[in-house]
Amino acid sequence: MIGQSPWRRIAGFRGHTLAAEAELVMLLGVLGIRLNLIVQLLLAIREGLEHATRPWLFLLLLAVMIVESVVVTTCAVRVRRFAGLGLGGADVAIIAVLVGAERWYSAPDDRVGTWVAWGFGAGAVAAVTAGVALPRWWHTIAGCLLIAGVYLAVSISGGQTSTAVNNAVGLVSFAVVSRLVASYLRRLADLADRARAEAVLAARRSELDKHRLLLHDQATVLRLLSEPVTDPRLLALLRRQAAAASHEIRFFLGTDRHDPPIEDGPVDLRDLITAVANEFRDLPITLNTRLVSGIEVPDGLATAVMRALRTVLLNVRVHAGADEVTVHGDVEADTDGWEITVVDDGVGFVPDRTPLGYGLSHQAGDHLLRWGVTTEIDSAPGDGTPITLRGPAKPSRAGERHDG
Amino acid sequence: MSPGTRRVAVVDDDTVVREGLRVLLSSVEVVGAYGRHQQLLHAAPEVDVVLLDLNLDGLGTGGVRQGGSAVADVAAAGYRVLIYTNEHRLTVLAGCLSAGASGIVHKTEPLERLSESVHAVHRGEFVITPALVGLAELAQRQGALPSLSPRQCQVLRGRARGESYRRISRRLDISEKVAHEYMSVVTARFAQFLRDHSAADLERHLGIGPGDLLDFGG
Repeated sequence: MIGQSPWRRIAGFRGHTLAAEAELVMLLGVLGIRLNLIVQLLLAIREGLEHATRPWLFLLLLAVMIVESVVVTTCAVRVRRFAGLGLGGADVAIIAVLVGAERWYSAPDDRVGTWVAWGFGAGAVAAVTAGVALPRWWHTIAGCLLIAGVYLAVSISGGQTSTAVNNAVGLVSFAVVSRLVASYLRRLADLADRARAEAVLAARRSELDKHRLLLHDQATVLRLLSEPVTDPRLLALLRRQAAAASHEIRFFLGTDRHDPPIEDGPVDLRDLITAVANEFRDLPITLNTRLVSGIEVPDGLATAVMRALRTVLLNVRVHAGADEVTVHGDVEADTDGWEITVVDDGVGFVPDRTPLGYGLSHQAGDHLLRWGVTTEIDSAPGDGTPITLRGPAKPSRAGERHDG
Repeated sequence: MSPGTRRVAVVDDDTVVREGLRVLLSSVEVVGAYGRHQQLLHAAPEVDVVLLDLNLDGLGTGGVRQGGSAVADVAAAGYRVLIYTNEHRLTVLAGCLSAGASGIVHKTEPLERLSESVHAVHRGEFVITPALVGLAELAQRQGALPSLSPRQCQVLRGRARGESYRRISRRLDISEKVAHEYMSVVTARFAQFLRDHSAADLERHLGIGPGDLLDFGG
C-alpha cells in the first residue's frame, strides 16, 4: 500500500533527493521529542504550582517554553528541515535562559529529580538541537557545554551534587550522539544522491552510444528511400524495411527493457517475457509485465512458455497486421497462479472456422497442458486476437516427467 | 473554422513536425508553431491545447529548458498540455503528467489518434499510453488508487491488457461510451496520483527507473 502520508501533505514535502528525505526524518524525530516535552510539562503543572517558590513565574516560564517549542518547530516545518545556526542557536540560547531561571521559582532541593524544576527536560531538548541543527562541531560542543553548565550551576546547590553532575554529563552525551547520528544520516544521503546523479549521467552516455548505433543501422534504409526508386518491388521492400525500422526505433525508445539472462534453474516470468519480446523488435509491442516481476517458474516450464510465446508472436507477425501488441503479465490474488496475455489489434479470425496451425495448437496448447497451463484464444474478425496462458502456482509434475 | 475544430499550438524543434501538422490534422487547426516553449509563452496565443515535444534541444546539450521543466512552465501559464513525443521511458512520461501535462501521444501513432487526443484533452480528459495504463494498473494493485470502483478497475484491467473498448464493453455487458467514461475516471485519478508523488516515490514504490529528462535544471 502506498500513498503520501498526512505528515508529508502537511509539510508540503516532495522528496526529490535523499538528502531532503534525511532532513525530513530528523525533523520528524525532533518533533516527537518536542511533543513529548510539552506533554510532560503539562503533566507537571499541578505539582509545580504546589511546590514552586513563585508559582506565577513557574507558570509563565513553562508557557514560554511551550510557545518557544511551537515556534521553533513551526519554523523548521516551513523550511522542511531542522537546521541552521540562526534557528538552532536561538533555540539553545532561549532554553539556556529558561534553565537558568529555575533558581527564581524552585527550591534548591527540587531542582534535581523533579518536574517542579523542568530544566533537565528542556536541557535535553536543547542538547538534541545542538547536535542536529547547529552546522559545525564546535557549535555543538559550545551549545551543549552552555546548557550543561547553566544546568549544573543552578542544580548543584541542592545537595545532590553527584546526580546533578551525572545529568550534566548526560546532556553533553545527548548532543554528541545526536550530532553523530545526524552527520551520519546526512553523509549517507549525500553519498546516495551523488551515486544517483552519477548513474543518471552514465545512463545518458550509454543512451547516446545506443542512439548512434541504432541510427547508423537505419541510415542506409533512409538513404535508399530518398533515392528515386522506380521498381515497385524494391519500393515495397524498402517500405517494409522502413516500417520494421520504425518499430525497432520505437522498441529502442521504450527501453526499460533490458536483455535479461535466462539461465538454468527457476526463471523470472518478467525476464522470460522480455527475452522473447526482444526477439520481435519489428513488432509494436508494449510490455505490461511488472505484476509478474519476481514470479518464478521451473526451467522446463519456462522453456515451454517461451516456445508458446514465440509461436504466438510469430503468428502476430505473419498474420495479424497489428498496429499495437500488448503482452501483459498478472498474478491471481486467490490462487497465486499466473497469467500471460498477448493482445493484438490486428485483423483477427474466427477460431471455430480457422484451423489452428501446428504452433498454436501444439506448442501453445497441448505441450503447456502437461504443465497444467491452459491456453485461451478469443479472436474475432476485425477485433484483434487475445491469447491467454494461465499457469498454476505449483506446476503439474507431468510436464516435468515428459520433458525429462 | 468549423464549430468542432480545436485550436492548437505546436512546440517542437523539428520543422517538419511544426509545418507538417498544419496540413495533416483533421478537425484541428494549428494556429501557432514554435521551436521553444518560451516563444509560445511570449506569444501567448489563445488555443485549446498545446502540443509539446519533450526533447527541444536534440541531445539536450544546449541548456534549453525542456522535458518536465517545459511542461511545468506551459501548464503554469494555464494551457492544457498534450505531449507529442517519441519518448517512451515510463519515468519520463509519468514525470510529465506529474508536472501538469494532460496527455501523451507518441509520434509513431496514427494522426487520427492525435486529433482524437486533442479533442479529449480539450474536454478535460487525460490521455495516456498503453504502457502508462500498465503503470496505472500497478499503482491500483499497490493500493495507490483506492477510490476506484470495481467496474472502473475491471476496465483498467482490460485496457492494461491491450483490449479494445469494444471487447471490454462486450465482456462487461456495458456500452462502449460507459467503458470510456470509466477509463476517463481512472486516468484522471492516476494523473492526480502522479501529481501528488515525486519521482523518487515512483522509483521506490512502483519500481520504475530514473529518467534524465525529469531533471528540472537547465
